Amino acid sequence: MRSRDVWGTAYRVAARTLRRSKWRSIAMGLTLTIGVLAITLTVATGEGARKGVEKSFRSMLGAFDVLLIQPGGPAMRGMARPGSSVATLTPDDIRAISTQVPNVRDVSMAQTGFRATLDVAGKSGTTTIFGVTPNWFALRGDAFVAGMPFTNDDDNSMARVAVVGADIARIYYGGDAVGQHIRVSGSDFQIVGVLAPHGAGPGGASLDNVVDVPLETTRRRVFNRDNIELATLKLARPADWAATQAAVTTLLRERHGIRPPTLDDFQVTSPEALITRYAKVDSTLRRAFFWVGFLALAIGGVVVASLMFTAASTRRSEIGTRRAVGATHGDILAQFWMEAVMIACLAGLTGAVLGVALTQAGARMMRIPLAVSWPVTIGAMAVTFGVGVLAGYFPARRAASESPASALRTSV
Amino acid sequence: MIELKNIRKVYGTAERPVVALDDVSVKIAAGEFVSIMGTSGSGKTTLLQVLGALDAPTAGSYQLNGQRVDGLSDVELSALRNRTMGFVFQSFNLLSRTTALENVLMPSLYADAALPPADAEEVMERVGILHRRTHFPSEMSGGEQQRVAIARALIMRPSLLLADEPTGNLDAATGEQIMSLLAELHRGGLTIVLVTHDPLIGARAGRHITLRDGCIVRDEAHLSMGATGRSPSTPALHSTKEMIS
Repeated sequence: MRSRDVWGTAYRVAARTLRRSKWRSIAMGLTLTIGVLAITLTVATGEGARKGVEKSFRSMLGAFDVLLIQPGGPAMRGMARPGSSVATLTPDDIRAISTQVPNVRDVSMAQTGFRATLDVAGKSGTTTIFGVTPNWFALRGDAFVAGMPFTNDDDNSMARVAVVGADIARIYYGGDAVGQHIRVSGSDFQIVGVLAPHGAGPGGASLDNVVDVPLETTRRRVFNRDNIELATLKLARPADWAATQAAVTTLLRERHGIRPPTLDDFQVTSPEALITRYAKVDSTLRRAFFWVGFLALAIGGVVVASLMFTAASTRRSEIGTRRAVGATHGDILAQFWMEAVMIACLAGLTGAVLGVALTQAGARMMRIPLAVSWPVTIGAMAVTFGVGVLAGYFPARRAASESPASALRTSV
Repeated sequence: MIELKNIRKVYGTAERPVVALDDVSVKIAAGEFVSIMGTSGSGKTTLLQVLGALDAPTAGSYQLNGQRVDGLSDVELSALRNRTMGFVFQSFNLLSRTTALENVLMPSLYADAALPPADAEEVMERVGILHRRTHFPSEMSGGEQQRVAIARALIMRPSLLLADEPTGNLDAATGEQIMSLLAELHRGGLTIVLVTHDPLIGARAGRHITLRDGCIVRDEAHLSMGATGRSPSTPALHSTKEMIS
């Protein structure tokens, strides 16, 4: 018995064969490459969409170590809407939470008025007006490019002051807006601060076309209502958000007199939960693409298997010759098996490299939100390896099964 | 060296058996140059394949250098072919897109340790093909390809060379050169068994075994096979070849 390295020999022989018949190797591996590429790219678009949603939520919500409370029951999804008539959440509710629920470090509140009319020195437009508590900006981590936020004194005195978004400062004032007057929904305000740009929100609309004024001002002077549309709870220990969410829910149900089986008339959500809900870009097309990738891997396996079967019969002369000079049954099996596995590995690797490169190029040049999902890409390569192992085994067994004499006989 | 006893080889199914070798017994001593002749279908290639451990006989025993060959495992048979036998085929059986040197080195892939290129170059020098060592088979003439194949058969330093119609795909003059090369190797101590249907090629051997329908019908020593090694029939070779073609 010889103890020589059968697989090492098979590797060297197979590598030489693949190098010498490049086009055959490419033809064999192409489908597998396409499969891995398709899977990498589809998942990259999904992953990219998730990252994009996360980014836009981050710029809309500011901080992530918070809980959001909105009016409206579980049947109402998402953020407060234009014309929302659900009036179930009041500043008193929020003040109760801030004093009674542990782990709540700070709270901010907001009233919103969508499609508010805007008049500035003859120019007019629409904007969103927010009535917010002064700590709103700090909680969100908002930066100011000019001026500063309004104060608690402003809030308490229902002052007619405003902080405007970057778009408004740019479009209506040419940038220099602090100290200027602005008329929103028929009320006049003096601009005290300009926010740094946020970009687009989850819906795609600009987050910079906003006017923020003190909450007390909107409650008493603009909207003349008590209910609020959003409360943000800043948590002392963000990791305990679930317990805090439960405590807030219990307290609010109690305050609103809700008993089972009646459902909540409010929602307590975490930004993470919102993102998960919005980032489900699991469109039919994407799913189809993903399965096309797997289908390509399956077809690629069939291609490899059939071409290897063809090789097993067209290369009988080679097989017979190798057997004659001392190759064992196992040598031939290993050689042909190795060829298939190597093609599969190279094809998978090529697909992954192409996929990653295209993802990076696409993300950079076309500004499409794309991000490589490494577990999926590596998983697809592993599947390809498995396909090669499977698709190569049976042809290799066929190639090796013939006796040296019969392999040689037909070659002449 | 070789002792075949009552070798029988049957192909095909049990209902329609094809008897390729029928009770063949033969002894070949070390250093002999034996030709196996016969018409096509006479069983001569089958006999060579049995001798070369490429095919197992259906019945009978085969001893090589005192060792039983029948009953060996595939790995043992492969090792035997690798170390003690060299094969030369009618259509050379070189790997395409593989240089002459790599073709010659190929058997050492299946040996315990790969041989250095220098060993291959030494053998190629001996058979007069060293100048072609980086060429591919498609860039060489038939005679050159057969020289590469002979170098490949010799690289593992076998004691037995088995040649199946080695001149069958060559013109007469080139065939003659190859036969001279084999004769020279024989004089160097190599045991050669050559299968041919061409009596003039067979005449170069020192002993002729003739097969018909799987049986040995004649086994005779060629006494004129002298120390000169030069066949007296060289001029006739051309005319016979022309007649055949």
